[in-house]
Amino acid sequence: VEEAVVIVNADSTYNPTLFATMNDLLKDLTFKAARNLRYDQPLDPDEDKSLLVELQDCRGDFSEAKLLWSLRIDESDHTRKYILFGGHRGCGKSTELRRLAAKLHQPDQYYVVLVDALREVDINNLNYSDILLAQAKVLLKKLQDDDIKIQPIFFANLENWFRERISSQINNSDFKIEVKAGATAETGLPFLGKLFASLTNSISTGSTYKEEIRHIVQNSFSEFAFAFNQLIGHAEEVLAKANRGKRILFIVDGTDRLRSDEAKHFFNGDVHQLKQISANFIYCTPITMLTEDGRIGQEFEVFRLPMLKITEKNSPNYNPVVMDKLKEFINKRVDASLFEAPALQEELITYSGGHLRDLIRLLSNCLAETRAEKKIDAQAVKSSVKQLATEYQRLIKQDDYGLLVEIDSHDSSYVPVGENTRRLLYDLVLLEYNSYWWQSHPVVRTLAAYQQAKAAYS
Amino acid sequence: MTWSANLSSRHSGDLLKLHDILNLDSGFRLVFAAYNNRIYRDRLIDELGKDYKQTIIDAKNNPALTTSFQTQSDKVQLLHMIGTEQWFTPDTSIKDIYQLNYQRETLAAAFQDTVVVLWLYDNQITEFAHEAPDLWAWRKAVLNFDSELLETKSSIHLNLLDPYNVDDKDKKLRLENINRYLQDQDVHSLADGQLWLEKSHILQILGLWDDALAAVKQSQEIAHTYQDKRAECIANRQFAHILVQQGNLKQALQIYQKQVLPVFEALGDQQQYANTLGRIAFIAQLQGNLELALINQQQVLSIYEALGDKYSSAITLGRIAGILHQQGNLQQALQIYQQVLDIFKDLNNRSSYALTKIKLADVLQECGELAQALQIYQYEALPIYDKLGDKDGSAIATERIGLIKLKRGELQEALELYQNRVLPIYKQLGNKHGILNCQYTIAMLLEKIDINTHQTEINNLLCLSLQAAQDMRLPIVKMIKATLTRLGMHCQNK
Repeated sequence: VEEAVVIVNADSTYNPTLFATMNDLLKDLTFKAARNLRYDQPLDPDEDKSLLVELQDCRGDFSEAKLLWSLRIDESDHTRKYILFGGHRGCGKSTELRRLAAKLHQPDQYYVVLVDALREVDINNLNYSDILLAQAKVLLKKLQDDDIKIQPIFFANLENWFRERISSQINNSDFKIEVKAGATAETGLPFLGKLFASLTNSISTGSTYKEEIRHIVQNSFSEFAFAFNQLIGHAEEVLAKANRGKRILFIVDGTDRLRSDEAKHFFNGDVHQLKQISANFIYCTPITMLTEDGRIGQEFEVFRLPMLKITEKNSPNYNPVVMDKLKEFINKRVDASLFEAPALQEELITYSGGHLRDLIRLLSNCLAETRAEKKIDAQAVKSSVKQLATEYQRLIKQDDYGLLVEIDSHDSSYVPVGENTRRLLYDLVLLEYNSYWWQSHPVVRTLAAYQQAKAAYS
Repeated sequence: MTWSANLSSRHSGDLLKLHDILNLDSGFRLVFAAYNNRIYRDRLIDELGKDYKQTIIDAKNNPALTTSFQTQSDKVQLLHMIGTEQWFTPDTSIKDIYQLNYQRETLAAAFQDTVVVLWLYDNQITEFAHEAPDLWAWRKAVLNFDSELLETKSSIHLNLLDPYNVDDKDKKLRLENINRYLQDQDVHSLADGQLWLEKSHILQILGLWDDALAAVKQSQEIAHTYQDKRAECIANRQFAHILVQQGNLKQALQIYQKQVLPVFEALGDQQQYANTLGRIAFIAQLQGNLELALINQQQVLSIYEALGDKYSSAITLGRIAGILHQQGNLQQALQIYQQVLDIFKDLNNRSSYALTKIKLADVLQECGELAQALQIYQYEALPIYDKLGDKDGSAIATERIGLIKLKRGELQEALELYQNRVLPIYKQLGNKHGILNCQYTIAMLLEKIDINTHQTEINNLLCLSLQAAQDMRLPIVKMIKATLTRLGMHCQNK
């Protein structure tokens, strides 16, 4: 395209063939870019290497090193880690967790078990028993897939628990048929794995005996916890000997999707049961939990994944390292030749506020504006920003503008935690950065109501 | 893409965007489409169906919504999800939104190369975005298909007023605006049905009851066309309410019992069910069946209490006290009114507090405590209404003061209050029923003060009140006629 553009610019006479070629190229590149701007799948560290960008240095104080330090293996220290990993929706949590999983899944570190709660359970009205059963299921399957030999004695209790508590107490014939079908004459770990698969399947599909299962697990929880811990303890030893990782680490993604009240119930109310399982855990959590006072920090180690900090609060100077990284992020998805001027990329980055999904959205809006008929120009950027701002406007109450202006006008120490700010953070109207300061989303600041509130404030 | 004459040109931009999303983009694409006219939405869907392979999923009463994704999966270019309005009713269906939010990945996996259009009323998009933030985060676009003429309407809807407490001229201005807007509509939307209902309320207060009934019938028909049972039910209830005011208790009761109560019950709307049951109790009270009225109101109270609705519970408790008052259980009524006052005080509801004070004073009057009752009307209730700018309330309190004066034989003072304070307020409010009552009372006062001097005036007032009562087909017609006969007076026109 760049070559074609040069030729077109050099030769201003109309050349239909050349224009046709150029238009085809433009169309191809636009379509390719549009495909790269999908956000319905987190990036896979192995499969999506061409799109991945290292962003650790761009998130202010958040440093992966701190998290890795917390998760360091000290063989003389058997303390288990219970970590909450939270941040804004769309800031890249799932992608970061998958990268972290790949990094930690090493012989001298962890045997990482990634549990996608959205896939494994019905997270509507999530209960600790659901998630622990899912963890058991995924672990059993992974051990089996990796051909890890577990001594039957160490999973016999889990098997017993299943037989005594679940099979004998659930009278539902459908469930019995399902269990029977799931465990066709097999024995050992595969047998147990299939039993747990049937069990979690019943929970995730919201079957009629879901509540019955939950009730039984809750009533016999100490037995289950004991048996599960027995399996984990032994598995860790076998894994270490097999050079497959020294400890088991469960990374639970999807629990950030919980609504505020359900998240409170799960992370506060069920914390004691969650912590009875003796392994290491990283739970993904919604940002609202991180602004809850007190207890959450006592029960979990909390890590925030903030927005990419493109600038300090109220500073006109943009961080060149972050800007470069985000340009790399853009150019891996949208060919640079599709922009009429490189400065437009910077403009889009600035308006994204460092929020990756919104940067993708702004780019996607720009492409829609061009209709694959022209390059992204200033008008397309302007329309894209306006479109996103209008969408955010729907989430802002009239009284919020004053509050947003107030927060933006203060220095970075001003973080008035309250119901309204919690809602604004949840809705991404207000963005949180490290080292822990807040600022309204840049597109929100373009809204007339914001400008009016600002004029009134000053 | 062909442009249909059936579609509004102002939607060409957003429709073009939708076509681009369908043709120039790929993968799972979620589009939010704002609309406010169901017929226009369906027309749009039909037009899109000419160019694309599409299907429609109705979310209404569809408990297996997410499983229906699997059956429809990936066979179509375009999927319309309609019937979403019930997610926003004040019952438990908001859970469907949560479920959909949690099922985002399932939805995307089922429709890997489909544009899913979620049709929502414009104001519901905000609520959806907040309640289902993860699904909202995956939006490809938010398109606006609000129908053209409804732009004017939205400003009308924003101006909803308290019809009981707005000046006559403002009521009439509002009526003009509504009429002008409604006249311009070829096809009425569901929101238009609400306008017809509002129009009916205003006409009812203005005493134009036949017109009020005609307006509410329009509202009923629109709700029926859109199969919105709740809206139809509310219109039916308003219809019955007007009948009650006209004294047609039998027909009103039938409507409440057959067309309203069972529907709210079927919809699981406990709040509205209790409200309707309360109205039925009121009819029983008007018919003198106080035992039944009391039983019904107690049932209403237990529903509101179970719902945790303190305000409605207090109102119902007040109505129970009213029945006890009527039964002659004055002490018990006083105790309950005191209890109700405490609740309204806690709720900081000054208007209801003032009205309860008036009712409590009514009981005191009955106990012979005229001075204490007057004190309450004059120095406790009236100042609250005046401070709130509640003219209707001020008129009620002043009428009560006038009654005490009348009971005490202070006829001239009572007359002055009715003539110079109460009647002007009702005239200002355009409250035909209030004016009628006032005119009749003034006539009766004049009779007591000096029938000979005021004969012509009394005759005029009685004839005016008779005419109004006949217009409204009120039961009071008989009483006014009897008074005219007793006084040997006649009306020329009627």
